Amino acid sequence: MFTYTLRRLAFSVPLLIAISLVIFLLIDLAPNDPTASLPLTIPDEVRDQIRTGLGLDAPTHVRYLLWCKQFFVNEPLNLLDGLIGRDSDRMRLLSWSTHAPVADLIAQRLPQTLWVVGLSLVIGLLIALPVGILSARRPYGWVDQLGTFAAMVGFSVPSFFLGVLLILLFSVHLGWLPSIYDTTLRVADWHSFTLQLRQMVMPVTVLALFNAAQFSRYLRASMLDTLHRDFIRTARAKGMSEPRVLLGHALRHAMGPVITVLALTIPQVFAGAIVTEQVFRVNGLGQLLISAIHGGDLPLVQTLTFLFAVLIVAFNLLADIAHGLLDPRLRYD
Amino acid sequence: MTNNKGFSRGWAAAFVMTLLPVAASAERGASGHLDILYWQAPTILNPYLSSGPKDIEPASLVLEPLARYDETGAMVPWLAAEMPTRANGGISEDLTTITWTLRPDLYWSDGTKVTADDVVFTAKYCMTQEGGCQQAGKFSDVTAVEALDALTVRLTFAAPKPFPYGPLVGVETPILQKAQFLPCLGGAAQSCTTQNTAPIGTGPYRVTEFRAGDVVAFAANPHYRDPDKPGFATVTIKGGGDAISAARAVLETGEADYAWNLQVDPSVLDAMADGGMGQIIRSFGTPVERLMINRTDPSPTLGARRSTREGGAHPFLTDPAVLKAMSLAIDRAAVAALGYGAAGKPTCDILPAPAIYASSANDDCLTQDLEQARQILENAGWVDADGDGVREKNGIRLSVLFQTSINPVRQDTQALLKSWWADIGIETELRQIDPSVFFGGDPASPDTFQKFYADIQMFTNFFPGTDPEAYLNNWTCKGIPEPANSWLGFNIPRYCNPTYDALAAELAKTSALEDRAAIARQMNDMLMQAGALIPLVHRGDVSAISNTLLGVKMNSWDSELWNIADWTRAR
Repeated sequence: MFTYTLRRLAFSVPLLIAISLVIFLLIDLAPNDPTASLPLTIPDEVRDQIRTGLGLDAPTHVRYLLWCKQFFVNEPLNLLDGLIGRDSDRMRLLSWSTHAPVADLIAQRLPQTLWVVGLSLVIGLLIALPVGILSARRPYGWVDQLGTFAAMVGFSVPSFFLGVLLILLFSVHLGWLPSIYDTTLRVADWHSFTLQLRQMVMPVTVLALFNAAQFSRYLRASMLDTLHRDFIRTARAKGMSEPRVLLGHALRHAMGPVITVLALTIPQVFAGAIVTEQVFRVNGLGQLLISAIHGGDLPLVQTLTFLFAVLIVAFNLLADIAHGLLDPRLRYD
Repeated sequence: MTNNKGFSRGWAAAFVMTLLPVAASAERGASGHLDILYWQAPTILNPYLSSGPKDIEPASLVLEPLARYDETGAMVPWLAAEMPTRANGGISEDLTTITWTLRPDLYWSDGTKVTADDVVFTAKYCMTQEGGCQQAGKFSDVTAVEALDALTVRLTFAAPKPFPYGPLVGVETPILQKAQFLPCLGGAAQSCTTQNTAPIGTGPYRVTEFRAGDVVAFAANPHYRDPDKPGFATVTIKGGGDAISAARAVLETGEADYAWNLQVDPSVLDAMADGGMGQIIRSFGTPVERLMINRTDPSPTLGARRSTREGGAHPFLTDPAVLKAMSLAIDRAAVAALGYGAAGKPTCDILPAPAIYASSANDDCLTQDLEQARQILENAGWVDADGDGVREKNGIRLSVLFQTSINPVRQDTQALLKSWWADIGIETELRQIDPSVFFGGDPASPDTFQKFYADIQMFTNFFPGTDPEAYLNNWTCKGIPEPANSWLGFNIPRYCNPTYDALAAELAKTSALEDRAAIARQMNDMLMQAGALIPLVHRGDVSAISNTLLGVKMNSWDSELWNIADWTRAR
């Protein structure tokens, strides 16, 4: 298992470098101009000056290598310096539209994305586990029917619709919950904690409903499959209690596919929920990415997409290891 | 905003503490906290490096120019003691210098004195190459900026400048603090993050927190020149989301006090305003949604010479009869009502404002007359001989390719025009291009508005401030984009008329406002009569304010937040 992990890790290095090159070329070759969003009244000579100021006139390979140096060398060293409290003056990776270091922008956005999207994942899983298990235990029983219906709604109602619906109901008509997420709110006491809870309710609900729908359907299918296996019959024949059969034997076996789905979903937590963040003005990483794309902010888009690629590769690896832990037959020794 | 009362109270308390030694009056900050929504979030607070109103207007809370435009478009001295004119000697007789005198009572928000050196430095900051200054065009013919004494600055121009109020006037070119921005000259400008996100200014507020693309928090500037202002102690400008939800937050939930730039379906906006929590405010500046007519041949068979003067004139879009008929077939009132509601007025002029420049010579196009349009084409020999619904003459069919950027309102307008033109026997093919490509100006892309590989295209343009000289200069012969100048230039219709160029040269020499206005009107009329541009809608700015907010004077000529120091909350 250990050598397998090492081998996979070693293999992911060239993979990630290739990914970074592909992302860079894709963004660079696309028709895209950071001065496109400027007012039309700005003369073209000035536009050219701005492009030069951003370093856009250098050849593609030079800009790619510069990005690599800034991302792989300068930023980690800066982080290290920051940790031991030393001042650093290395050239930082700057966003074109904000002229601020990309790392700082991501650090600003991470808290609200982790709170809202991360919490929705946890809540979604907490709903999906009992619903999936109970649905599979009595297929087409009332729990299953209800779960299927809720999952259908969760899957098929788009978040931009559900989000606006919730705002109209709870903000406009009832006036219970705020429709604007305040990212400057600091949780310091009981009062600010309740404010934080209130502003998270709607975005988390929208996202958790979708996550719960997804996980519960996978878990139900996987549990149904497992519950008909011989070892479950054996366990029941040995007189094990129903909870022990379900949770101890069936669930452990059935979690395999769900772990895969989960591993592929977690990187998306960091990518943020673009639409939901927009609806509630959460302004997390998803909103950062979409505004960077609109503004032709190449360094920011490049860095964000590459970080997502790193997370996807990393969590796939983690999923494989988790499979090994759940099912000893899958340990590649 | 209900969800951060605790936050705002905290700030108010902190603010009162810091203010105690200086406070002469209890009025400053008495209105508490103000919430503003800019759905396009501010990403930088330095107008010299910014990409538009979303950054420049929030920055106007902090940074101020020497003079600015009030809500009527009139220029008012702001940091300057008075407006320099020829009468008071502020502008030299030969029109090559302008001398500004600062108010004596100005302090930066860090308590230091504002001096003429700061003004000189600001000009130098923008005029330094490699800095990527986005307002460099305003300083293009400034040759020298010098401090005559601690409060007096003289700008010298390369040539006589009848309207010398370009640099350091208006929201785009405010005064920066020399001490703060000194390390940011030239190439270093881009990486001065602290300076660019929290500039020190003379305005009513100072930045307390900045999160790029998300939110900016401001607190009243303790050294602001008027001890009773600003009315609000703290302000947050929140970004993100979209225009509809911003309107909702002001008009329906009351979570915010002010929402900027609500380009929303007018019927939706009116329905929200019926809620009674707030109202919609509008004002009209210079933006006009217009059709640009390609006077050169865009035919792909011409290869590299397509849409250039070298490739020859357009086969039928230089025929005045065709252009007149196309303009007459349009019901501008319908286009304005459908796309812009009360925020759009039908117009027949490319220069509809300020009032002194508005011509009334072209107003006959305001009424749609399909019958007359058909007659004009008929008389000019354009007839539908083969009965396919499209007129032709000498083997040339009246078939146009009409392109614009992707935008729901523009697509509605395209569909309307297509049906009207079909009514008079002109066939239209529609094309939509992603805005970032269309306006991108990439010389390698065939789809930019400068290349204009189509017969007709539509977008909005405007000019900042109130003087139309630079705007009208767009349509001189040398402004034509072509391969030789890397497709730079704003004469999109490729209109070239020596008489027009002569008028432009005359405008550059004329200084009396009435004479300037007469020439400007004449230039506007020439463009309209040639049919180089077909104006459609004079677009207004739309914002929403809470009913409890007082003192807002909606301004299309400057920052919408230009007089925020005077805003207060009704009690």
